[in-house]
Amino acid sequence: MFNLLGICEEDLKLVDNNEYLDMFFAESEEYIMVLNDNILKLENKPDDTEMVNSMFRAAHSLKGMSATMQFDNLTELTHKLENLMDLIRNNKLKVNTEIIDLLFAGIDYIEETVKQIKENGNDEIELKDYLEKLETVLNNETNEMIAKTKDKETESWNYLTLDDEEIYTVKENKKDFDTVYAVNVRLNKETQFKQVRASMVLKEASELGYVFKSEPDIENVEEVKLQENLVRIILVSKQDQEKIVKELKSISDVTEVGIDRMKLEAEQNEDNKEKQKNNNNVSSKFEISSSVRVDIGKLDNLMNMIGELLINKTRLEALNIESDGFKDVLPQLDRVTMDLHHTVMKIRMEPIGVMFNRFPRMVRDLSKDSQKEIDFIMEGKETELDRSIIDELGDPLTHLLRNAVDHGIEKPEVRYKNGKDKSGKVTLKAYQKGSEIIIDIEDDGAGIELDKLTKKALEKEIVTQTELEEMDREKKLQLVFEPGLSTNEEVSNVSGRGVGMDVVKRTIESLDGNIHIKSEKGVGTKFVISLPLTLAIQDALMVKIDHEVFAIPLNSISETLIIKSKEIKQVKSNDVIVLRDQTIPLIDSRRSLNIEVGDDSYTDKEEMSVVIVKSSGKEVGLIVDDLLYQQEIVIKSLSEYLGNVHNISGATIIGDGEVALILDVRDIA
Amino acid sequence: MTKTDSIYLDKKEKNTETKNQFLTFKLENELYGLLLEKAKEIIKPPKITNVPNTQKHVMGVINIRGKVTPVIDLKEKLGLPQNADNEKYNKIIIINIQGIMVGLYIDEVREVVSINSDDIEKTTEGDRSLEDEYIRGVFTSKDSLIVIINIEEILFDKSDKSEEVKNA
Repeated sequence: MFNLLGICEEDLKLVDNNEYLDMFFAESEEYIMVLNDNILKLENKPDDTEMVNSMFRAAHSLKGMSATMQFDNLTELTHKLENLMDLIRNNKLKVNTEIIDLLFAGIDYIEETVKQIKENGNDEIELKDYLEKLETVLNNETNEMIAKTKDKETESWNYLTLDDEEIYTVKENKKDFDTVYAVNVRLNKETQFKQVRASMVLKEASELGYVFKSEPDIENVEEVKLQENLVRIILVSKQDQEKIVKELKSISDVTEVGIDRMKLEAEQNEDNKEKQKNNNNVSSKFEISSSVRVDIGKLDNLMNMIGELLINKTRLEALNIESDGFKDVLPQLDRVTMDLHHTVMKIRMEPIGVMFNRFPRMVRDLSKDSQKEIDFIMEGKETELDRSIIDELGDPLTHLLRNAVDHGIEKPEVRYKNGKDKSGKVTLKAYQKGSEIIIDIEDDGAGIELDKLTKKALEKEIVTQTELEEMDREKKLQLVFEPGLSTNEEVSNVSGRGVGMDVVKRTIESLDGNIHIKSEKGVGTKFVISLPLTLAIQDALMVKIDHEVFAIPLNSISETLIIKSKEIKQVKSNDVIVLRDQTIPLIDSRRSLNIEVGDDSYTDKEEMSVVIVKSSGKEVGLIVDDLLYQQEIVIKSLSEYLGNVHNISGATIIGDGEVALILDVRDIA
Repeated sequence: MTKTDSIYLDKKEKNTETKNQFLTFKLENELYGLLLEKAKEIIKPPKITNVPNTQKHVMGVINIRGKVTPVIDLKEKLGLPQNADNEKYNKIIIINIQGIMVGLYIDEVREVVSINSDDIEKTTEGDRSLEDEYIRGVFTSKDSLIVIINIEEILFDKSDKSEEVKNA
C-alpha cells in the first residue's frame, strides 16, 4: 500500500510541462507527416478537396496545440497556413506549383520551429519573409477570386434576405405556383438616369410578379442613391427565372441581372436536415480510433518483466511438484504468459509506413533540385516491424534513397539518349519473408561501374591487386560498403562525400540484419536489406561449449550435423568438410571464443556436432561440444560496463535463471 | 549479517553532516570499505557465466532480476593474492554507478560503519603505487584498520590497457 502511494506521488510530480512538451513533439511530428503526405498527394490531384480537408485539420490541430503551449510564432504560422488551406478548400484558390511550393516551405518552417523548440525551448525563428509572402498570396488570390466570382454571377451577389416574420408573411400570401426570387439588377455605372432606370426596373418587376421588398424602395426610388449601381428585389412570381432575366435585361442601361430562387423556412429546414446528414456521414468517416500513446521505454520495461515471468515460469516447471493442482495450474500459467508475451510483441510492432512516409517528399525535393524526373513507388507500407528497428532504419534508408536519386537515376536527356524512359523509377518495397523483413531499394538508373569501383578501391588501398583477383563480381560490388569509397565524380550537397555506405552497413548489422547489393551497368542498382522481425525475441539454438550454454540465432543457422572425424578433409592445411559438393571450412568454437583449449583438439573425438552458420554469403561449420535444444530467447544487452565483446552479440536468461551468451556468428564466420 | 542471503541496504539513514556511512568487507585478511550509498544489495553468488574475450578481472555475468550484470573479481582487480578459501562467506555486492550495475565479488561482508571524513587518513605521498589511485585513504579504529576504496576509479579506470585479455 505504501509503495502504491509512493508511486502515485512520483507520477504526479512527473506530470509537468515536460510531459506535455513530449506529447507536443510527438503529435507535431505526426501532423507534419500528414501535411507533407497530403501536399504531395495534392500536387498530383489538385482537385481533391478531401486531401485539403485532412490537411486543414492537421494544421488546425497544430495551431491549437502551439497556442496552448504558447508558441506564438508557430501559432501565427500555422494560422496563416490554415487560411491558405481554407481558401483552397473552398475553391477560392487554384492549386498551382507556386502554392504547392509555398505549402511545402510552410511545413519546412513548422518543422524547423519545432526543432528550435526542442533544442532551445523557444520558437524564435525568422519567419517574417515567409509570412509576408504568404500574406501577399492570400490577399492577391482572394481579390482575384472575388473578381472572378462576380463574373460568374454566383452567390456573392449579396441578395436581399428575409427575416423570419417576412418569410411568414410571404408564405401566407404566396400562391401555390408562386416562387420567391431574389433578384439583383446592375445598372451601367456611366448612366445619368440611375434613379429613373431603377424605377423602371421596379415597375417592370411588379409587372412580372409581386415585389415584396426592394432596395431602393419603390416609394423613394427617386431620392435614394444606388449602392454599387444595384437594385435589389425580392420578387414573388409564377414566371420562371429565364423569363424574368430576359424581361429585366431588355430595360436600357441594365448591364447584369442576377437571380436566385429563395428557400423559405420549411424548405430551409429540409435542406438543413440534408446537410446534417452529410455532416454525420463525414464525421463518422473520421472517427478517432481509440489508442494510447505509450513511451517505448515503458514497453521495454514491460518486455523485461515478461521475460522475467517466463524465466520464473520455467523454474517453477522444473520444480516438478507432485500435486494435481500444480499440474492443472501450470498449463494455464503457460498459456497466459505466452499470450502476454505475444501481445506485448505485437504492441511493439508498427507498420513501417510511419517511417516510409517521409520519403516521397524527400524524393520529390531531390529530383526537383537535380532536375531529374522520378517515379517513386512505395510498397508494403503496412509491413510491421519492431518499433526500435524502425527508428534505427530511418537514416540508412534515407541515405540509400538519396544515392538512388542522386547517383543512380540519370538526367532525363541521358536516359532518353540511352533509350530509357525519361523518368526514372525508384522503388522502396518492404515485405515479410519467414521470420525476416526484407526491404528492397531499387532504381533503374545507371548502375555501378565495377571497373571504376575497383580502380578506386585500389587507389585508396582498400584492396590489393591479388585480393581483387580472387574476388568474384558479387564480392567486388560489396566494396561499396567500404569506408572512403564513392564512385561519382560529381559531389552534390546531399551525397557523394564517401561517407555513409559503410555507416549504412554498420547500422543494419547492428540491428542484426544484412545488406546486399546487386547492380548492373546501365540497368540499375538494387539493395536488399533483411532484418529480424523483432530485436527483443528470437528463436535460437542452444549449444554447449566448454560447460557453458550459448545461444546461436536460428536465422543464421542453415543446418546442424553430426560428423565423424574421418569425414574431415584438409584444404590448404585447413580442416573442411564436404557437404553436398560444397566445401565448408570448420572452425573450433573454443578456439574462436578464446576458451582454454588445452591439447585435446576436436579431431581426437570420434563424433562431433557441427552447426553450419551462414553469414554474408559464406558458410562455415562451427564445432560445438553439444547441441542442446531450440528456444525462444529474450535478447538482452551485455552490460554497458563490458562494452562490445568480440564474438558475443548479447545475452539471454535461460530457464534456471542463469545467463547464456549469444554468439555473434558474423564475427566468427 | 552475513547469514542472510540477500540484504537490501537501507539508505534512509543517511550521513549526518560530514559523517559518511561505509560498508565494510573482507578481501583476504584485510578490511575494506566503500560508500554505502553506492551499494544496492548484497547477494550470495549464483552461478556466474563466463564471458570470453574480456579482461581477467571480469569473472562473468549474472542475472539480477532480468538485468545482465557483470561480476568483477575485486581481488584480481586490486592485484591481491587469491588465497582465502571461504566459499561459505563469499558474497557479491551489487553497486550502481551512474545507472550501470556491477557486482563486486568479495570474501566476506562485515558491517556498516559511520566514519567522519576527517578521520580518513590519506596514504602517504611518497610510496604511491598505481593501486593507490583506487584508495581514498585509511581509517583506523581502536581494533582494526579499514582501507577506504574509490570504487568509481576502480571500475572505470581507463588507464589500465596493459591488462591482458583473459586466456589470450
